Amino acid sequence: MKNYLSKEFFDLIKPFIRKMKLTCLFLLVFSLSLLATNVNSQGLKVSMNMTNTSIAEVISSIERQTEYLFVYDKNKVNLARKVNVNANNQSVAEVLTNLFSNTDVVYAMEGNNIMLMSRSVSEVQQQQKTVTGKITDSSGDPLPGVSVVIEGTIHGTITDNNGKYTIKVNSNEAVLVFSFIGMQTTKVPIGNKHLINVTLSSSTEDLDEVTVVAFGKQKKTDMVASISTIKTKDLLQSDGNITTALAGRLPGMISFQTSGEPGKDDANYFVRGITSFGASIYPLVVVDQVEMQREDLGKLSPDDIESFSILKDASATALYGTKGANGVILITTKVGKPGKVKISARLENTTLVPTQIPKFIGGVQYMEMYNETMMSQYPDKTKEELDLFSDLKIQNTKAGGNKYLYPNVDWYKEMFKDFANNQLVNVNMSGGGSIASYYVSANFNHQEGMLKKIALYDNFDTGINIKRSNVRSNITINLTPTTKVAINFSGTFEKNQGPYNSASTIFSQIVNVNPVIFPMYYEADANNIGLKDKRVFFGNANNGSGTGASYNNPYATMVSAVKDEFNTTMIGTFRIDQKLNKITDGLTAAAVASFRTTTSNMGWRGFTPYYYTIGGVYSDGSYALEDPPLQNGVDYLNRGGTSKSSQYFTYFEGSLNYNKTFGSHGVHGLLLTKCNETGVSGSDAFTSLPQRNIGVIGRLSYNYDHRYMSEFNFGYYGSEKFTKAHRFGFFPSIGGAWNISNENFFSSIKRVADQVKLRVSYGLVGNDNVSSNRFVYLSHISTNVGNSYFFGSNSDVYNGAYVSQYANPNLTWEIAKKLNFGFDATFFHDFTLNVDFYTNNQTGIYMNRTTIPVSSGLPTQGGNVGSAFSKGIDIGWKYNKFFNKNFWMQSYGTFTLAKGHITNIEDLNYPEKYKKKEGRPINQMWGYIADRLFLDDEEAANSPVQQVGGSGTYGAGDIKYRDVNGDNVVDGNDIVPIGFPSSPEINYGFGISMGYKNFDISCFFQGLANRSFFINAGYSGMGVIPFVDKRNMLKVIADDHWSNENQNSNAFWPKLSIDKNSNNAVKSTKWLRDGSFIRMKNMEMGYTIPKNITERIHISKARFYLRGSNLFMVYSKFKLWDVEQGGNGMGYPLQRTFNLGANITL
Amino acid sequence: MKKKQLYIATILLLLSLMSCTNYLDIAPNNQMEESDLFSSQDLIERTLTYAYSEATPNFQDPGEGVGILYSDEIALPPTWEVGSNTKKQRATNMNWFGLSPTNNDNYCYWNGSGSGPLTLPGQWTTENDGDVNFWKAIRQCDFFLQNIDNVQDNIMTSDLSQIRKGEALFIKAWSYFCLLRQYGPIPIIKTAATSNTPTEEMQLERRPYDECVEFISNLLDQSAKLLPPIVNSQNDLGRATKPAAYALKSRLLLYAASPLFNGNSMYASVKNHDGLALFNPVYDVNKWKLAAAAADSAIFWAELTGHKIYNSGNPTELNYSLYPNPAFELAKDSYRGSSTLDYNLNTDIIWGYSTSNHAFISSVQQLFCLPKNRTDKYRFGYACFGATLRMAELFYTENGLPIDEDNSYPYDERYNMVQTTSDEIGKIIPNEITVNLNLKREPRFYGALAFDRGYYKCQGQSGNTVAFDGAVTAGYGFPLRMRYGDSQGQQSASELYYSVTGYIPKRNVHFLSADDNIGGIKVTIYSILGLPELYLNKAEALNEFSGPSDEVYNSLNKIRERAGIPTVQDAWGGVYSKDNGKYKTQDGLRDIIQQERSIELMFEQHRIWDLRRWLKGDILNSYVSGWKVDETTPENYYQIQYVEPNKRVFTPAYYLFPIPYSEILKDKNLVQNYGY
Repeated sequence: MKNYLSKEFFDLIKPFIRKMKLTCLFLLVFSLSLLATNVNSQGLKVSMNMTNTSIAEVISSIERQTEYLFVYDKNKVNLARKVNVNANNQSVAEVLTNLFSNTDVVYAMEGNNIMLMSRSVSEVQQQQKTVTGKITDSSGDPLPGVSVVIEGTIHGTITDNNGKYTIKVNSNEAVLVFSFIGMQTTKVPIGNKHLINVTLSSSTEDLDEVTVVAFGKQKKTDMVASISTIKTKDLLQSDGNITTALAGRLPGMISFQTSGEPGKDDANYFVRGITSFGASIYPLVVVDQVEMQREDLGKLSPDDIESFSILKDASATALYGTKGANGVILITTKVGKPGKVKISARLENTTLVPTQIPKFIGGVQYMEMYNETMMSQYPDKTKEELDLFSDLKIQNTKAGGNKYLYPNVDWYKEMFKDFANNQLVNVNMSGGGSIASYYVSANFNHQEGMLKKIALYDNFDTGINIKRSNVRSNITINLTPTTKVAINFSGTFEKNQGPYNSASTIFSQIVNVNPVIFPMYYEADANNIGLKDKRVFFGNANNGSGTGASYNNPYATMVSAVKDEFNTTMIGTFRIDQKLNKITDGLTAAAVASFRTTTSNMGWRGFTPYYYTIGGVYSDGSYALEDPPLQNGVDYLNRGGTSKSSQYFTYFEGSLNYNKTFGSHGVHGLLLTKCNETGVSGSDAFTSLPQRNIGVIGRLSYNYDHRYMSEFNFGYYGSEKFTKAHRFGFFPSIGGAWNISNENFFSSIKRVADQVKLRVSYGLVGNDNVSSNRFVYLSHISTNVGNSYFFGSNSDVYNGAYVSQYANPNLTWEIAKKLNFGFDATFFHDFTLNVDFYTNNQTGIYMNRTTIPVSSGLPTQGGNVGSAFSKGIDIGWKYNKFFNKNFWMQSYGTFTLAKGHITNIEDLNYPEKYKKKEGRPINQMWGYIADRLFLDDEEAANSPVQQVGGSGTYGAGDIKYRDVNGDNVVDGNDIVPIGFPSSPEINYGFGISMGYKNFDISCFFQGLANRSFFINAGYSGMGVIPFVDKRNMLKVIADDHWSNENQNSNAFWPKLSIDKNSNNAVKSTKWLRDGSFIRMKNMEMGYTIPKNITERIHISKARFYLRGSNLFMVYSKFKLWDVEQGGNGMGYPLQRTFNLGANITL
Repeated sequence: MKKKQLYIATILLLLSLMSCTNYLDIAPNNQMEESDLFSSQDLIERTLTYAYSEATPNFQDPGEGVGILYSDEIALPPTWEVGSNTKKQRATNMNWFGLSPTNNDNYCYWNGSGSGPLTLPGQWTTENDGDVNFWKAIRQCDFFLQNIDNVQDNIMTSDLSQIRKGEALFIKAWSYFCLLRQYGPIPIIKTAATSNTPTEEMQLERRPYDECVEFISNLLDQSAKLLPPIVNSQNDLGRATKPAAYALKSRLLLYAASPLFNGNSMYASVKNHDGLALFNPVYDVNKWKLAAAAADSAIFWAELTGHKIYNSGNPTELNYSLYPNPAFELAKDSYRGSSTLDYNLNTDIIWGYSTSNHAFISSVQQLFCLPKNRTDKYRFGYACFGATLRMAELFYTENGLPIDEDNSYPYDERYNMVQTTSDEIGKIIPNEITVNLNLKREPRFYGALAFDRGYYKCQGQSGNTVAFDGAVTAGYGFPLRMRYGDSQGQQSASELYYSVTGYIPKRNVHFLSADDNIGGIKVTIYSILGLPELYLNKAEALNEFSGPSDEVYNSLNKIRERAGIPTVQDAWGGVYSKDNGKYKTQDGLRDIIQQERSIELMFEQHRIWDLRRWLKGDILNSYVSGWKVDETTPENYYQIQYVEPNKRVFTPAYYLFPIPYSEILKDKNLVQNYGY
């Protein structure tokens, strides 16, 4: 047996072979440095003085002194031959030349390997023969530029303009590999042939393509389940966050993003929409068979992903019975492939600018409008009686007077940068030999936010600064010809620095302060010399209602406290696969053990800011700050704290797999047991207990002649969330598929439709995550301080005890019943279409009982009483066209429609039918119907009484609501379902890619529809109401509002008011907006450096690209801020990104 | 090779068999169950403590209690905000307080959600502590009563467990009573619901009013048998006692005999779905007899256990003899002290929240009632509870007669300005301008209300003054100047907190309370059941049953004696009375009793219920007035104005509160109250 190993791998497993100890496996995973050291051993000198020693001993002596490893065939090299060696600091080559002179052994050094061969063998290898041929495409046209490579080597050529090639080969055993972009790679063994003509077919529908399914892989043609897959390339989104790349890319995925804040910018994503109104609505995320936290997905390095699939129907998800009811996202990471080491790197710089920032009015306009509003609101009062902005202040602000006396702050501009820059570096290496293969990668991602970097103290920088490193090592080892071991290790290390208060908080505080209320800070001028020290004189004001500073100074909020957060996720997975051919052919067994820990440590520190206001103005125009200040601060760090959380996840799996084809009969079986445990750093006796699941799952599938496929899946799952009686749930599913195109009668139309397949599946999927509380089935006794009473005269508090939750022994699984019809087809080789129709019936949704009268005195009770029904269509299509050798084009698109409604919910027995939730979409929006604004006070007085939002005062220019039930009172009973759900029902995307010679360009549009949102017209959170408490005013309100002069009853904003008017702030059709849009999601231009240049510098491929995302909105009815953010418009804006990058493969 | 494969397969199989049966047994099996609550004395005590905590709303908190804001005792500044809702809306709503079945914000004790956290600048931001739910209290008591008799002696002595049982019966009765007076007929729970009770069985119907009264009355009788006459130790202060059970029964039966519930035909149409009438439209005079008897036995037990009308004045006063008119000063302070002072001093209190309970709630009300002090602009009281002018006029003259029945009192010139002299020392600052209304009034007027140019014992100025040489002089308290721009008045138009009427209640404010610079708010007691009420109950019931008698007069005179005013007979039979015969007729005496009750129990959350049960809601259907507090000169200041822009509306429906609409929607057997 000849040891014919690739050089790289040999280096890698050298210590392994030496020691044959299992511990080395783990060493191996971490000792990637071995790769780096091998270069240095070239040309090493050795010294030895040996007489009458065997060749074997000499070899081992050399191996001891150097990094070299000898490779030889015992039968060809006589190791026992005795020789004398006398070398003093001689090179290895010299020693070997002497050693084997006059023998039939020749040596060859390659890297760290020294191969010993018999002369005859090496001479055979020198013999060469010439192979020629012509490559054509399916229509017979010659294909120029096709790469022709001898498999396992780097020797190759490309076809000429006529599609012809000539190549020299050493052996008839060699295999030629023909590859061309957009075409299926084809391999042809040479044998005795000298002429090899090949017709390459388009790769659009790779018939042998395998798809990752639950706990295994399946040939795509034999697949019964509904699974969508996305290419890794499409996940390389500009901002490095996978979740934002999903929108419109995968049929069946609903995704949208509402915040652009670094670290908190994950998109919301759902598989086939939101199908439940229970505790669990999100899909399960599984990476290399290990369940992940939902938020871990955004931190995954897209470069490491081999396949990204979503499992949609029961056949696909039944095996994830405990948590699969809302769909499963299944990710596998890359593994090494046998072959030469492949190193690729990606470097990227991303520039981010907000897509759109809400516009506010300037200070002068603000004051003028404020005064006008105040005066029209209190017509009885004189100017002097009202708390107006003084003419002096307005004049001086207009004239640009002293900026501390007459501030006019553009808070956005002062606090935020115009753009931010992110960097990304990714390096990965893969390769392997017949014994082992590896994929290792390192990824570094640096993100900064839009907040300005302001460091008032050393190490106290408030700019957002996120540094994330991902490392991964996936190693596969063939222990024996039948045993394979895989070890995957990955770690994510993230350092997140920035202001302690989230950027979204800071953004929203800007809405709360107007430009003229106070400056960000005062400069201590000569008049205030007495106050001199290092302190910052932050601006603030008192609104007269209490003592001290009444407002939030966003600048102070930003700079007065910073945090350092360190998040770590480490995942290790060990997998062993054993072929059991000796028992029966096609039988394999596998075991998996996986461990994940996540820790998060946050520490923050800050100081209490001093808040000042102007105490007086001198005749020379200078000012004095009021002393004492509005708030006494400190000049040193006096606040701070830490928080920690950690989580672990362990997973074990054992399985038997059977895969065998008997003639036309293909049989596949899987039996698998698994158990997992999740633990968190809980805060009490309950939450610190681990959560566990066990399960036995199985799959039996049979196909006849690749024409008729059938499949049966089951999951038998146990969960500790239920009593013993309900602890286990059985979730079966069946499915079938028919490859019509494989039938004989189909051959006549095969020219049109290459492939047509029909699929159907039905089954049950369970969900045990019915409540976010632990042990809902048990009774809980509360002895909290909140239910205490005082007895006696010594202030002694006595705690009460009561049942805060009653045992609910009937608590059981939520079950989704999923039915799916699928249609897959390929037309004219180039056009593929996948369509899925589905229904999903979610039953047993756990919810709080609402019909139990309060008079029972019972605490809130829950039960599996809800159900919801959803249905939809997922469509994906792709069209590839290769016009000629230089020009290719690809276009693709997806369309997802997911509509769900509540079929059963415990609801109050409303007399108004429209109040019922049954039959309504799951995320139905509710609100009043706003007809328009009241024309005058008289109309307001003569209309039905509006008891809306607790307000009783309204008049001309305020919102008029419709009295839906006709009881002459507008109140809670007139709230009706309005608009579309808050989560979109339709998500789609389409794109086109083109290549011409070395240039490529692609663009991708994405959109969503059937989605509504409310503008928050209130005061809290992201509310936009102006003037109340001197809040800032959006330009759109200043431009378009009801006023005595402009009595437009359809104005954007009702009558302005200094006071809160809840009548206008409630959710209603007035504030309902259409959330649908189409946007240019991505555009990319790339240039690949021609091969003849790159080869000269030993690079196999180098591509440079310029990419932009969120470049522009194609269509949206909403213009005030980025419509995708929905009601979150005052938060951190979404980002438009531009990145410049390079992808280099060695 | 085959061996190896088998070996590995065996390992895999072993791995697969990890699914041991107990892998999923994670939930701790020593988890406490409801039945475990009776496994130790500590837990039994806690179980009952929870019932207390759910049954005692903070009536004094305007954000939480039905209290004084739902009567006509208080008006609030228009800009006052509470939580997310503006108090302005509550106080000036065109539709009174907007009582509506769908508005959970109007003190809805039915579902325990009638409260919102109260936020004031500079105040706390924590959740309020009074998540009161009478139905939860009732269920807890029922559960307690089901189990307490089975407790073995080694866990809790039977003597103690029987006392606790009596307390549970009392708290249950109290909870039912609170619901009954607010909502009228209510469902009566037969057995405590559990998580297994079918929903239909929990959807109960309301029971007739008389049945509810009888049910609660029986609970109190059972309770009184078990409860001790006085608490066993200082540590038990605040627990129910035998006199408390009788006192509550007295109030229950007095309410039941009152016009709202006794022979009120307005409610004849309120019936359950099966036709059962919930109110008895037939008047029964015997109900007054029962009420009088209940008051009698309550008084008997209270007096037996050492309760007497509190008459020791301000305990910080060293020597009342220093004052020119010690009797006046003592009467004034005793009246205020009876609403303020703790169990150990205050002989009035039969059952109340003990000293520390709801401390911050009572402290907030005190802050609202403490005067401003401009020397430290924001740190002093808010002075934002404005006692209405009607309250100021309700008090008697110094002769113990209503101001319009005293022929020595310049009733028609009561709003005229006068110059004060040093004779009024202690009442009015000498040599200042005031109005007749603030002069020549009974001591309780000065003990209950603070006003412009008056005095207020608080803020470190509550007692006598001791000079350097040791000489002690009389102290009258903090002198108030409350006109616009004055140091205790409204300072600017944009000011959020000030008294809109010019009067601030002094009741419920401790003599020693001050702002934080001087020592902070002193915790007061909140009296729920007190001796003065029992005398008033007795007088009212007896007069209604059998008309005027010495027994009626004597009951009233117990109150008047402390108040420092002549007896009923001397006042109305004396030279100052315009109508010497009034007190001898049943109707006349009824007026006298009702006014006496309104004065004596002012700001103690009685008037809201008394006006309703007397069917005198029309009084509430009116404007609320006060002085023009945004004026600086006395001429302009002492002008009457409506302090709220709108008239307060009181419709017949408002005699009872609406049952929450959501509960009507849940419970098909529950019928809504009249008028909603």
